[in-house]
Amino acid sequence: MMEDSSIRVEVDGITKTFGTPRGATIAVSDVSLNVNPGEFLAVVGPSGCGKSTLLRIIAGLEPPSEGEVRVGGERVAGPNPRHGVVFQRPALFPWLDVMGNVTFGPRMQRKRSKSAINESAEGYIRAVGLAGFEHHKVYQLSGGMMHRVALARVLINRPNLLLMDEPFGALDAQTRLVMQELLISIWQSDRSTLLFITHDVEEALFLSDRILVMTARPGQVKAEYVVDLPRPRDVSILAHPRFAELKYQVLTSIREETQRTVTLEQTEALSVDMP
Amino acid sequence: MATAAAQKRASGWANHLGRRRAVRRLRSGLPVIASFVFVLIVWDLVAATKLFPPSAVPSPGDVFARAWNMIWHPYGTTTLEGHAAISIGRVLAGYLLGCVAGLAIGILMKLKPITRYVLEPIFSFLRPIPAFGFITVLIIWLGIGESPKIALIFIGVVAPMTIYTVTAMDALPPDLDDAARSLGANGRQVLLKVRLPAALPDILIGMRVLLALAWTSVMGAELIAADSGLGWSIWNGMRYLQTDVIFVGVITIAVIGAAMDGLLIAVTVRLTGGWKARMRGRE
Repeated sequence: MMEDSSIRVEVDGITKTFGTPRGATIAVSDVSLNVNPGEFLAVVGPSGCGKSTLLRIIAGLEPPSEGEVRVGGERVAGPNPRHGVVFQRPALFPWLDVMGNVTFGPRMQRKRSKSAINESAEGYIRAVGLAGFEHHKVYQLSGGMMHRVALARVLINRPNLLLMDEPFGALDAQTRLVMQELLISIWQSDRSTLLFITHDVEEALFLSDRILVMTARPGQVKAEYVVDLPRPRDVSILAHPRFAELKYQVLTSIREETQRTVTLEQTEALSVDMP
Repeated sequence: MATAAAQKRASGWANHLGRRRAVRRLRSGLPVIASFVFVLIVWDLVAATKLFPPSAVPSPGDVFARAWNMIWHPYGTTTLEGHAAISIGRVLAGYLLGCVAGLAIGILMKLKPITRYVLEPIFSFLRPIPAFGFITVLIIWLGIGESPKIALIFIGVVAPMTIYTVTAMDALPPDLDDAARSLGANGRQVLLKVRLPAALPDILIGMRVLLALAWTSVMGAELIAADSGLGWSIWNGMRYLQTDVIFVGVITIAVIGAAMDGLLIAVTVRLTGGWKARMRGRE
């Protein structure tokens, strides 16, 4: 699990324009950023700032309108199972059981034998704390368990890059904390490069090495904060004085953007009514 | 996490739910039986008033006697079971061929978009035409044997089955498509391993609708150039004002139709485990 388990991400002048009935919308505008090998980078920003679009472009799920993304020096031209994506919804395949979901990636890639895939799947199911649930159907799982399966399903591809789009946003506060701790422990053991999108500043501080704040639409990188909090981290970090200090700085930075977003939306809502 | 305990609890729940479901099914069966008994009583009372001649409203007793008679003595070319078997054979042949062909054409349309551009307008154009409109040309082309009857049912099923398959496969939640692609599935695998199983519950619902349509078609097919089948029995009953025969035919079709529908529901549960209904409101 240790061979080339981390990789550099270079985002170079990415712009993404969407055609809408009311003309073109610029989702992200000239975004450049780097994620260092093995780094845990959090991207925060107001809703609708294009952070999900940015992640989808890095994942190769959507082409950029302009610019280029390189992962490990190679230009991203499409999805890659070594670049794992965890979505906001668990997005499990509900007609399969836990085992079927976790083995999905290797089964599609047809590179490993069936027994090797199953053995590996059992290991990852154990790693996310779902041992004994291999043959449970998706609809028999709780929301937190579904997210664990989604994580195991990505980890089995041995990703050197993990892209996570507000993966715990829909969970209740307690389950979210448990999932965050699980993610940290997994990341600390395999040290893949990790890009994590969230609107939750505390979550970003708790998890990441570095935080990028994005502007309101069109999204651009506004500010960068290095999270110089000690690791390994646990809940006690919330009481660290530096945590409060950083939280205040990041929140202030986002707040301006959120207000700009609200103004932007109001202007747009008004312009719809205009003849 | 105490996973073993949690699992034990989960399976305990499943057993508990299973038992409760059995009790519920038994309870829900009683009102159904009661409503059938109620209809029979009302029907018998109406017939007993003699307000309508037996040629208009035969009593349940008359209908039962006719059914009994038709089981033991041929009505026309064969007995009631014979007519039923012939109609079931026609329906199953036309319906299954239509479903398989529609499914195959639908999947082909998703695999090769060019076929969709060519075929979809044709199927959309054909779909609203009542299949019965084709019976005359089918007889001219295929003669008066079994083939025009099976073809008629096939025609009624194949176009809507194609459309059901394509639209159900179109309707995949976008994040499932993204998840599959980012996990390493290629375009073909996304279609066959994700879109198709995701669409299956909706396709099976479409197949239930089409089963009823197939029975409507067989009625039409047995109207012209036929001397057997439940449809033929009904039309013949009308021709000779044997209203009890019509009732026997209609009730037999209803019973067989309900049984086939139940079978299809069982197949649906077997194939999908009912995940679609169970996932509702989850995630």
